[in-house]
Amino acid sequence: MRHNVLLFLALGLSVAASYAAYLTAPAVTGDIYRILYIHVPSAWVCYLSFSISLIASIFFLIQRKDVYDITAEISAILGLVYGAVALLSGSIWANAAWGSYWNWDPRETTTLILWIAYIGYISIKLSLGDIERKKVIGAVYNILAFFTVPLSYLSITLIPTLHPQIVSAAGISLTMPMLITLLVSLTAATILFVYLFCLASTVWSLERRVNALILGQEEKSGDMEDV
Amino acid sequence: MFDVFLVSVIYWLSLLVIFLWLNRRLVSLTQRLSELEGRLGEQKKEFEKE
Repeated sequence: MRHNVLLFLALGLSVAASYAAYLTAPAVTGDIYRILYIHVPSAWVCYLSFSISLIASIFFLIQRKDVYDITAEISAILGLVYGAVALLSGSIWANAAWGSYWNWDPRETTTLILWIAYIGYISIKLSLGDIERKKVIGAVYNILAFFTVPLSYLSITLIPTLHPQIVSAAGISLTMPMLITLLVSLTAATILFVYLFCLASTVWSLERRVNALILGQEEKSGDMEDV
Repeated sequence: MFDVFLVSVIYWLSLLVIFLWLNRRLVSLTQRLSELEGRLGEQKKEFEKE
């Protein structure tokens, strides 16, 4: 499959980033700072996938094409997984750095709100019976839920917080080797997300073809019974 | 060091679960599709004979 190139590229970059993370020795904070190379890419992919989901939902409301609806759904599901990893890795880091897994820090709280908001989106997609209504309500809810993304992202600049700020007005608070390692990790995570997204889209299109064939055969057998 | 290991396990395990689930679904759907298309082909042949 042509998407496998993406998988191998992402895995290669992940191995390179892991090795670079192992080499760049921690200065003050100790080993725990290495969590950054998983936590930041997970959070970035989470924001990226919810942004894709938002754009797809807007396009769905304008053009009413199924492809946009399913793009929004796939992105949201993947975003939830990456969001869960970001939350878990963040709380493990918080325990080591602040002494408690959960501190109701603005970033922690707003990210949890974001995650719950998108759980709501998936619940809507799974619960409503009427397919067309489900798509439209889901898209509207998805657009509203997206407001939690800038809320989570900007929480560390708008509200006083314990959360470290890598990029601020003062500049980037990382050394060059750490920054390069982080950028490689971010690239690897993004490519892996694109791969998983393509795989999920392929599964969805196959599902559609299978359902169409089954429906066609059922209609044929129904016609024959009528005859 | 255990914390870093734990976070790595959580990250890779969750991605692996999605990957395996999608791949299993892909394989089963591909098989189902070839079955259905085969059946459709047979039906067409029978129809042509008739």
